[in-house]
Amino acid sequence: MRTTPIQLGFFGVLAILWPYTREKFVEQVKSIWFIVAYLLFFQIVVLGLPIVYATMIGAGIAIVAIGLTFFMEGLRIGLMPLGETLGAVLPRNSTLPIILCFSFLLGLGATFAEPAIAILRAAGAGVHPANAPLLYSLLNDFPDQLVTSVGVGVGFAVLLGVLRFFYGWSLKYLLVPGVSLLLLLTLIANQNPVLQQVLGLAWDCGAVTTGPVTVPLVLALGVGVCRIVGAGDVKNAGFGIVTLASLFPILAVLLLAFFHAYQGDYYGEANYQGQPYVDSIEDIATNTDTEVLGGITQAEFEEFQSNPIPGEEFEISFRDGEKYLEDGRIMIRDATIVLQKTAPPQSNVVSGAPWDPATDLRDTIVTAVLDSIRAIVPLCIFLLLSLKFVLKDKIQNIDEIKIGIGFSIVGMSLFLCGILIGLSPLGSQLGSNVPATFSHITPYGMSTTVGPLYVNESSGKYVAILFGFFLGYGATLAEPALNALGDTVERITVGAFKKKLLMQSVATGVAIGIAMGVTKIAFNLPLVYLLVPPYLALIVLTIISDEAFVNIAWDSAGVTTGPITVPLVLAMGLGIGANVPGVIDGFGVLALASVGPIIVVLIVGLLVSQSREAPYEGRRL
Amino acid sequence: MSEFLRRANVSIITAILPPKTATRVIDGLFALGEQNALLLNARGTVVRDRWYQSFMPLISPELEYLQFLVPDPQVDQMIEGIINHGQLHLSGAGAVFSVPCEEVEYGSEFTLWSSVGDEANEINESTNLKENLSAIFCIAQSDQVDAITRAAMSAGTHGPVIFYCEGRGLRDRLGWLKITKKRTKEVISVIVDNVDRIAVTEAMIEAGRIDMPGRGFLYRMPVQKGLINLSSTIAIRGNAANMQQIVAAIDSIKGSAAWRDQGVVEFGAAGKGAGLSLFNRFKKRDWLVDQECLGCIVNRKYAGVMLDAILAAGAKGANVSHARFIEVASETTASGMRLNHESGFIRCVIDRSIVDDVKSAIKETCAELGIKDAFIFLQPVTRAFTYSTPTHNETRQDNKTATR
Repeated sequence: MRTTPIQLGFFGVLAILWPYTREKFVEQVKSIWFIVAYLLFFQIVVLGLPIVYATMIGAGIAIVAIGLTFFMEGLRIGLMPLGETLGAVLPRNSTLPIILCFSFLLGLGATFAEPAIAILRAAGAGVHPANAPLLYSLLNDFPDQLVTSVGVGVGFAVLLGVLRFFYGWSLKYLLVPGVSLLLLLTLIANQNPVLQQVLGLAWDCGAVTTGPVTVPLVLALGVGVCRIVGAGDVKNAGFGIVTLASLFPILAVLLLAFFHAYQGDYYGEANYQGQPYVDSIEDIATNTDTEVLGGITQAEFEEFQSNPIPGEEFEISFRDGEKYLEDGRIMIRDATIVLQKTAPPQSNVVSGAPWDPATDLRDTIVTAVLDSIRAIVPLCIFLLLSLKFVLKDKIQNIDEIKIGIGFSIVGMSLFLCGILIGLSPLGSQLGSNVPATFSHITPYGMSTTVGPLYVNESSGKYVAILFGFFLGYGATLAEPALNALGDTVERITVGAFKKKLLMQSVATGVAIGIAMGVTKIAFNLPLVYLLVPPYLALIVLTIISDEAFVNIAWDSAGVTTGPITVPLVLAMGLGIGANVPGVIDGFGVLALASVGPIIVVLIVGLLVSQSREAPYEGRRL
Repeated sequence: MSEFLRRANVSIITAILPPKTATRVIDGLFALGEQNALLLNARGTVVRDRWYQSFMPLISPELEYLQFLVPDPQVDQMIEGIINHGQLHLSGAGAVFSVPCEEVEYGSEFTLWSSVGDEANEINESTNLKENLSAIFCIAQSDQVDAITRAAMSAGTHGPVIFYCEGRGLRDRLGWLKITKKRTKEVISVIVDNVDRIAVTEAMIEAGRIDMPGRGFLYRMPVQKGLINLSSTIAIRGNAANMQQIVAAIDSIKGSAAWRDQGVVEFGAAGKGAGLSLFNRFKKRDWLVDQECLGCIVNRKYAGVMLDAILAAGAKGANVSHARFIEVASETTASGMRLNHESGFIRCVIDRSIVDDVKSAIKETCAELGIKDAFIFLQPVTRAFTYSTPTHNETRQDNKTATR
């Protein structure tokens, strides 16, 4: 029989495995090198501040690269074929109500599996109830309602997305009314000061829901369904579910906010039933400036009194007194002598401890593994069971799928762990340090202060905006879900739409979006002014664009904000927001980061359609 | 055991059309009596004409590769129908060609043709169909495709049409290690005038290094008649005729593309000898002769088993393309959308001597699994080429399997 397995020795296996592993690893390194190099470059060269905990960050980044390698392979050989097989089997083997029910449960379950909402709650930790009562209540008093409403939103989105394939509705007919409705609600909410503060949260919820596991699965499911139902050209190839899954949660959260506003049961109102907010000691402590400017403690003072010879670490300067020049020397009579501690010599590149003493490595690993299992395993079990009961047949390539699921779990654990000890600390450092361009701050992990690097505050803010631009670009190129979308688009169009083109367009779009977001925070502009005009432009672009590009462009928006972009962007948003007076929260940047890619990809689509119409000129269809 | 109906005088008409026209053409043909169509997604190739176009994003045109199974008397009428519905006389509109089958066999549940008039109807003679064409198919890895495509276009063809296929052979014998090998390969197909066929074949083999082990497989089939009008360049508006139309017109006046000889063209690292050289044209090659292309259309879930059976019966390699099988009488959902079947479109190029063995292997598998709607066809292959070592017979077979 031809299919007898080849017997390979250990070295034979190695000879096959090594080039493959190396190729995949190098591919992932290529996608994250830019963001890492950029962050290091900005902190060391532009800001002139050293990296704290460099060893830990270095280790974390290496682990992220390895984790991404496993995760992307796991997606490619396990999760996505599983989703696609299920999608291809459903239309024939079950009735429409069952399929819709399945879709709803999938959407609902995926939301609970992914820890995206927890990230937003972390972002909202700095929200003070006196400034934003309804926002505070939604995040702290009604978190379960928030997650449930987002889940229901995503569930309906997946349901509607699958239904769209069965009826052949154009995505434009769902998008234009949907987005118009959202914009209308946004404008209404903008009139009410309490609701206005929730807008950032609502739009960000839409951006973060679809995570690195949900997106490939839902995409593969759509592709599978469309293999069977319909004409099968690109315009109905299975895209569109991710789009809806990014828009519906916004609606759900806005409705929840309206409901609570109407009920009047948020913080400070008559029907409030939660805990009163207590300013914690930490808040009070950081508010008062107990910064010891000179650096000399009481104990050192007493030691000086007994031994009044200043040592090397003291810096001497003179104040007041009468100064005159005599014989080429400056003489000062009756001056006050000031001694302060000189700052210890620091390396310009790395400083401080190599490893953050506060991180417990074992804890981090356990958290990462549990999160990854929670994100992947329930969904896979749900899909495998559905496949078994619906297909009632042996699943083809089940061994590859199992290997793939294993790789995904290992990969996701490694890469979550790596993000926790590598990219997130780097991001928070940069987030705290970037405001050094326009204000007076204490850099991360140091005790001295650093003043604004640029004399003109506005130009400092422009540098911060430029930083945000490249941060968005680099972080998006590293996102696994976008890689998965790019692969799928290339495969569906049989190589016509290359993955590289899609990734570069989306990354540029996200860069523009994040730059806009940083502008919003740095200049404390209301979110509405930055959000509504792009979406209006988007509606026009959607109407005039080709259906195929509308599908791909809107899906790429749902894909972008993932586990790499979100922590970096939120850290930066919080850091900048803390240094701009009047900024309440760091929300809104992610929503703007989602608008950019849609606009850029639609424009690319229009340019391509322009150049493609030419061969058919003179023909009337 | 075999409830297979045998028939001669059937041709396979292939139409390569943009997606918008594909649906129109399929509906039009169903009205004329065609019962089913096989649809593969493919992409075309366009090159940028002007320098400033390099800064614009390039997305190749999507095409649908349609196959229709038509009895010989109806071929002309069908081709006319396709040309009319697809407006193929316009430049860049698509292509249609027919390849006759030596014989076909199909299961009892496969509907070949509705018996609406087996006699030939009146044909509109106004469209000139070219005869003396050849179709060249080259199966290669994704990274070789660019070089081969450019070589083919330099040698005088239209932009090749490329679709995916999965091969069998080395990959499946690796056990769990098969995850390390990419499964899909690309099939590059061009249709050329007979006068140019040798030059184009040579250019493609050189550019893709098909004579090296594991680099692919190339075969050439005779085409009975066809009309090829695929787009190859991104044209500029504002000229009365674009470059492609002018070149096509001169080709038809001259009768072949030989007037376009440009001398040897080197591509550096990407490929060699892609143009036509004026002296000592073509290398001596070990062509595979006396080959037949055996094809089988079967439900996608049985494709794997069928490929195993074909390889077990002695074929050196086989590949399957996943296609959608559209039937006149297909199930529809409540909302009126057609539910398509997924088919595996299997092809293998084998020696004439083992054709019967492979066919019986296929029929046995069908009987075992209860497949009643399989379709088997046999088409002639004039030339085939792949890596071959003249010394070791054993390694030769293994390597041939590895190249598919």
